[in-house]
Amino acid sequence: MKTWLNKGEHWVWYSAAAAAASVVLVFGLLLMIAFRGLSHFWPHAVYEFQIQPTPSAQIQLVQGEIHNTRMRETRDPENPGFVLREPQILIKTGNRDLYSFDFRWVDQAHIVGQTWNKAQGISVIERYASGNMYGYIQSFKNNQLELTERDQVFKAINAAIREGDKIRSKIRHLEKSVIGGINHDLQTLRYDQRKLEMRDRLTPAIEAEFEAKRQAMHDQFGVLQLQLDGYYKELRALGTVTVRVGDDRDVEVNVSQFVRFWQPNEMHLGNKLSSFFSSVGSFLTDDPRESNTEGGVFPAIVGTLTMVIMMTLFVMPMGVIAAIYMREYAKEGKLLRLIRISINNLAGVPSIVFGIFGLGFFVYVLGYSVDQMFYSHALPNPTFGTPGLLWASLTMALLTLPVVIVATDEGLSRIPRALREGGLALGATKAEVIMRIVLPMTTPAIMTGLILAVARAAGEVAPLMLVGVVKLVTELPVNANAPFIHLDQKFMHLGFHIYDVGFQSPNVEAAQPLVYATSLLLVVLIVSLNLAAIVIRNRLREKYKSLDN
Amino acid sequence: MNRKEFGTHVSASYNQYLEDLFNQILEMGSLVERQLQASVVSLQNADYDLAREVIQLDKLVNREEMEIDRLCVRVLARHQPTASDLRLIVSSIRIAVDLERMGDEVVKIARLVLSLEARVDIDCQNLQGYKQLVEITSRACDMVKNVLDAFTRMDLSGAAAVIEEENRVDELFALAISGVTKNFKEDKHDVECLLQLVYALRAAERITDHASNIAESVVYLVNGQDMRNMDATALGKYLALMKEE
Amino acid sequence: MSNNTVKVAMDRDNRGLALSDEKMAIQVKDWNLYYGKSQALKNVTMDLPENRVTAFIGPSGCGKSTLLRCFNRMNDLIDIVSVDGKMLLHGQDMYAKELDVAEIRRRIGMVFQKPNPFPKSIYENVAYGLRLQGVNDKKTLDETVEWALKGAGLWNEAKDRLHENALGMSGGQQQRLCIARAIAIQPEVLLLDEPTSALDPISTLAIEELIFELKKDFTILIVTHNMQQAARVSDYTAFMYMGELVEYTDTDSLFTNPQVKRTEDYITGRYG
Repeated sequence: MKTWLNKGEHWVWYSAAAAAASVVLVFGLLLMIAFRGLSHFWPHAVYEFQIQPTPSAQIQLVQGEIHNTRMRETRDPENPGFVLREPQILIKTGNRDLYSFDFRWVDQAHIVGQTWNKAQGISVIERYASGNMYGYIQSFKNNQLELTERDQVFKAINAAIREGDKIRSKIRHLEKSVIGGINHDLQTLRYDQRKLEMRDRLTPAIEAEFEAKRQAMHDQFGVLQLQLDGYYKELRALGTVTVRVGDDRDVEVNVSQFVRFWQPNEMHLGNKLSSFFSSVGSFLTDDPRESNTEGGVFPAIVGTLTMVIMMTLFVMPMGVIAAIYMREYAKEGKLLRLIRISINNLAGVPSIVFGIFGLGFFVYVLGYSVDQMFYSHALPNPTFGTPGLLWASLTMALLTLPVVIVATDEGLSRIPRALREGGLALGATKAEVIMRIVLPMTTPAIMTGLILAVARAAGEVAPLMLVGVVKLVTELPVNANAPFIHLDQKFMHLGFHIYDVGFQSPNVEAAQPLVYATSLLLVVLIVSLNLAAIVIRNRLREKYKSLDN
Repeated sequence: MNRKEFGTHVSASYNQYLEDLFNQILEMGSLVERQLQASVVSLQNADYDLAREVIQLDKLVNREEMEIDRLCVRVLARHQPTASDLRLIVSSIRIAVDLERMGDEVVKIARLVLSLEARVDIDCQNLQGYKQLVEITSRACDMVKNVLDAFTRMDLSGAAAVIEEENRVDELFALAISGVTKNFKEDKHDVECLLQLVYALRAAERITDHASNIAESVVYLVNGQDMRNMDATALGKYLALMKEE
Repeated sequence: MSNNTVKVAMDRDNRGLALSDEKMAIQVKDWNLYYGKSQALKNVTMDLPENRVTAFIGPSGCGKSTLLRCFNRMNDLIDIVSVDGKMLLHGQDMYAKELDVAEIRRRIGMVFQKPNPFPKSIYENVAYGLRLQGVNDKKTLDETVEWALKGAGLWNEAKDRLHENALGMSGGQQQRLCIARAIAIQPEVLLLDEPTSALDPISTLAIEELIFELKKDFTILIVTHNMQQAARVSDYTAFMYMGELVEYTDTDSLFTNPQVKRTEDYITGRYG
């Protein structure tokens, strides 16, 4: 034992244990998030429970997915000091519009008969509002026909859903692009008028011209509105479905409310998988619904990506140029050392501080001045004088600048002096050597720094809350209206979305799976960014590797 | 240049090789010297056994030459000598060749002595050239001793003295040859004996030539000066210069 | 043997090489170099002959590399270096204020201790210097690249892989590529800073052979730690010690009969 200690074997074991613990933690974290997040998309079986709260009460039928179990602890009323443990299960019953809650805890003791009893023939209906519906589909009817035969009913409903999707996409096109475009034009018109007004050039003739234009737009708007109303009417006329819920209660639901519906208890694995993937797909491509607790995260993905790309555009030239100056041109000395220390410390400043700086300097000082100078026609409505994409990107660029500078600086310092001298000896100037030899060889390091920066920016939440991220946007920061990227707009962000859904949502139980799913998405995004970084870096290193030996 | 300096290389094996080479040359030189001394004694006393020993020694001398060649090649291959070391190798090879030739020439003198053994009837010792032969041989013996001394001490003036001595021996040789020529003319002496005497005289003179060559090699070793292509006046000047040092 | 060769052989036998007979490419007068306050080169005065190989030998830190780097003003890159004295390239002051440093470096090429090809294709490496001068004509580039690679004895090995990465070549090939790169811009002088110290013996011999070929067209200055190499490749050898030029003469004389004891001690490997 003593020789074992003397040899230092125990240190080896300690370090191995520490390494193992880190690995377990990383994979445990990923597995937990992945499991929780992905199970949200899996079509779970729906059970039917017969519940009798008190022996004398009437038996209640409840259908739903089992979400959780727990032991409820209550004081024993007969033996003070003792605790009674009762097993409870959490059932997702859906049908929020009927019961006003989605989930309920049920004492297992109150369940009569077989506990795990799959409800035969039950359907789960995902709806545009009020969450899922669990029930037995009875019949379908619309203006022309009425069906009760199950297969025919399902076929008709599916056809109606497809039809509804078509109409919805038309509505979306009208609302987002056409009417959005008109709104945009109207606003431009108003600003133009205001600009002239401020310069005192607004003659009645011009005013009348503006008015005419505006009127034309309003007319167009009215036509579109009518068209829109027609679509909505069409949508409502698709038909209604009668669903039997709980204890023989029949409910009529308009088909236009249906997103999808499925019969989890009758699906085999293939069906479940395809349902799983289509759920994942709609999660990625749909807008959020029900104050973010349902639907997809598409705007958040777009917002995050746009912000990150903008940030990259800002931080990349800034960081690389700063690093080149520091490494290649600045004289080594106290000042340069001070600058290096400052940059390294900048990397350690808490991110919220950057948020405060962004708000205080970019938004209130820069944004205010920009508004005064270029957007005075829009005042008192601020254009850039309010948190938005530009300021968020700039703030994040500032936050990640040290990473890029340090990585580039290190990359530059690793280029052998011999190579620079080789270039100089051929009659190249210093700038030529940097541009043609040094910088191309530094790309692996720059890429590394950049992707670390991107990963950091994509995961950061706190400063963004101050400089431009919001819970919900109606307009994406990138759209078809010129100038296509709207730097002044607010945007959604995956990280903030997690926070918002998880803690600001009225329906915590319903939101929980979405929190995990969104977290998983964020982790996957960042991990794939890092992997891409590693792959690119390795490929570039391979290209330059024989220089190192 | 100083002989001790050959032992100051950073590489110990290099030092050892050069030291071995030095010792080998001195050993060979002392063998040749012994041969010469023995031949002088045998000439004076008609000591035939000693003459045979001289001939026997020549085999040893030949072997020594091969050994020196081997040592030189070893240093060349392993250490790529430069400057004084290179000159040492070059001079060593030359000196070895000269010494070996000396050995061969001494054998010719010894042969003369042995040829006398068979012809006791002829009083060769009292022939006119014989005395000069003894004289030249003993001078050659001294020159070899001196030149080896100069080699050991890297002594330029010693080497110069040997070269000058060789010129004097040449005069002596001319004298001896003219004496023998006279004997031939008188026609009262045994021709065979006279011929042997001429051979021996010639051999003794060659020995001094070789000694002088060795002296030149020593000069080359010490200061890199090649004296072989100097004419008489340049040589005289140069010798005077060397003696001053 | 033809008459001519006999004559050449006689000439060599009789005279050998002598600095006094040479036409000079570079003249150095009272050259001093300081690193901050410490003096690295002390009053170096020497004339470097044209179309000859001149080798610089000496112990580490003797200033031979520093002196070599003065010839194409590489020391300008170090802030604390200051120089005084005269350095003339074909009579023209290399340190004149109005002179473009890049111009000097184009006229005096340099090959470094470690092969340092750029991480580009073989072709682009050789064409680099030309492209810097604004030559982009494909035909001119092709011709020059071929000429330079042939000059560097690399054409046969490289012609089928001109567009592969230069870093895929062996060390010896890389060094010859660096020589090709340097001669592609037709310098007057070629500086070689220990060009074979990172190479194996066979590659070293190839480079030495190349140096012998190249001296027909270029004036070559080579710094080497390997005295045998200096003896093998050079026509003239300069021995430097502690920043001073101790002895400078034709290689034969220096290696058989050096006149200064320091030189003798150094080249024979004795205790300093």
